[in-house]
Amino acid sequence: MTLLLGLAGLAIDIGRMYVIRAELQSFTDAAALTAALQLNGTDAGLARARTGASGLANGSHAMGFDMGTQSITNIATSFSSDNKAWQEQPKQASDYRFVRVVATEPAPVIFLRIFQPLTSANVAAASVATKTEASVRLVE
Amino acid sequence: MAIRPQRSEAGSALIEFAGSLILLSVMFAGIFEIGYSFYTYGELVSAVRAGARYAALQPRGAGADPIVAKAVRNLVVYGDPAPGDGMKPLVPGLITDHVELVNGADSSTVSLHGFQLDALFMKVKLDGRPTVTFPVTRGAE
Repeated sequence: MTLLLGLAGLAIDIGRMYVIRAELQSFTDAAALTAALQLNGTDAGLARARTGASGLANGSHAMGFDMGTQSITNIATSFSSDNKAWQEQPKQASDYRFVRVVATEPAPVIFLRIFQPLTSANVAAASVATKTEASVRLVE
Repeated sequence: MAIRPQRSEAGSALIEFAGSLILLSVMFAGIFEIGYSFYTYGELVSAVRAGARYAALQPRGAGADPIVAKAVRNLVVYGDPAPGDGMKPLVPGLITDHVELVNGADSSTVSLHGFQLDALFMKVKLDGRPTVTFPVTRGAE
């Protein structure tokens, strides 16, 4: 029975986590690019970057997770000038050219509960985009 | 008084085994089926993401739009904007009519409509999911 539940856990719980991660990764890629497009060296640009990133999770074309059934709500946007040190609320907006979007959502755990007392496990995806002179691109 | 011959129990183990085999097979089939559905959905997410990213990098306009829409449909279904003859869809049963491209002012949205995810015990109809929106970044990359 433990073997059977373990198999079910692998196929269903872990499979579900992989799907959720793929969905979150698509979302963060798009959100990071959307945010990077708004970076223009001003505080207003940073604010628009934040709303632009979370905007993709709302509206009629919202991107969801768990086979598209749940809304992505836990979105962290931070900024960097050198792709190393990250700040959520930069003081000087002028030289922030990198933006990172991290989405973290819980994946429901059904069968693997017999090994660990968990009802959900957090799955996260992160993307970094940068704005250069004429364009934006994904860094990682 | 006649002594009744002792009944043989040799057959009962066989019947129990057959019963548990049926139960086990159904459980294995169910596990496989749901696991395979998740795998397929993951493939669809990747395909739709690729389509949206492609669309966001293409030129816009009355002349270009139909060409781009056709290329996006082919990319999502076959993994290639210009598929050769006889190419098989990445996911069985997926056709180009299931793929919808919506061009916003500064974004491209690709989604699936009407595709049925074929699971053994159920069919999941996907209307509007997966959906992926990418901002227009023409001239980038």
